[in-house]
Amino acid sequence: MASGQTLVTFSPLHNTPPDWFFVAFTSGSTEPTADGDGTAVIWGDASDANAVLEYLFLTGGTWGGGDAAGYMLLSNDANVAWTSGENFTADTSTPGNHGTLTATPVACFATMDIRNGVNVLDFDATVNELAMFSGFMPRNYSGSSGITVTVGAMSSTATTGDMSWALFLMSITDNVDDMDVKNFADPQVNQAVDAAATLGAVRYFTITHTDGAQMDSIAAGEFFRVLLMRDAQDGANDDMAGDAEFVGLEIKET
Amino acid sequence: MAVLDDTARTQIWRGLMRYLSGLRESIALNKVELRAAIDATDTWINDNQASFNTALPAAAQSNLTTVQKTLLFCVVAARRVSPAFTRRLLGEIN
Repeated sequence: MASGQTLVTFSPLHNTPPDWFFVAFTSGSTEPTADGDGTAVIWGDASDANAVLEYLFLTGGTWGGGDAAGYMLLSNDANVAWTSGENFTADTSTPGNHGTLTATPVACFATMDIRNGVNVLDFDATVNELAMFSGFMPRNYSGSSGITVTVGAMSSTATTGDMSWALFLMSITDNVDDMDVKNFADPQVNQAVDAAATLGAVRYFTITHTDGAQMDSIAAGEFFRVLLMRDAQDGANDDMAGDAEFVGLEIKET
Repeated sequence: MAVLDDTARTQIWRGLMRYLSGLRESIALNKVELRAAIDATDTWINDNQASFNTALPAAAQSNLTTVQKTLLFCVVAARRVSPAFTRRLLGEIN
């Protein structure tokens, strides 16, 4: 495949809204690892529920010590039992105070909306929200040059301010990856996407992934997943008021 | 009545952004500037309570509770937004 050629595109209708939750925490110990390590167990009066730790974001302190704080992205349909003050541990059936939830879980899927007849996905201004797409990497991907993802988005109400976006990739390798616990690779970001000065105008911006670890080593012909997140809690970079409205995404070979 | 706490101001901030997003009404403020405007509005209301009270007729001054005076202020201000918005607060106006 020649550099610059489109590999695959996704529209809002391709989104599978993840039934996942963000929950803030403070750390009491060294587990789970910062980039997710499969399962976390939430311990509390009413729930000893398993959740898959999809990703962990640090907003303060240092992971591995007792001063870390941030929020975890967890997938589990028993979240109604989780409350602020419960503890979590990892990969064990034995309770241990490896950290404490400091808030109740917040649902985080981008919501479907229609703007002037066009399907869009609304990403909130204060809660990080996600959209998930999946497909097969086209056979004509060279497997060496990486990909450049172009995202189109409008603002619902703002004509000033910036958006911060992150894009995660996950490869599903033949007879290797367990989709129940497989995590996304570290995200690549575009943290300073200006809102369009005209309401209803679409901004196009790019997020680049080099071949290899940044793409979770997705190979040609392999099933893969894409997770797009507006990092609304990025207080330094995301200051656009109101929703961002996603209109589509293109993956091209870099 | 004291100023609203941070949680209440944050709730207004989130709710107002979602409301405006639903309307797709253009605002040329970022999140930080909008939050500052909410804080300033709450502070102004707090600082001018006595002035508002003085402006009310004597009967209202002496017979309405603080919450009722606040509601009075809100619905008159809401009517300046729109009749439809006021109906969302009061149920019906005619």
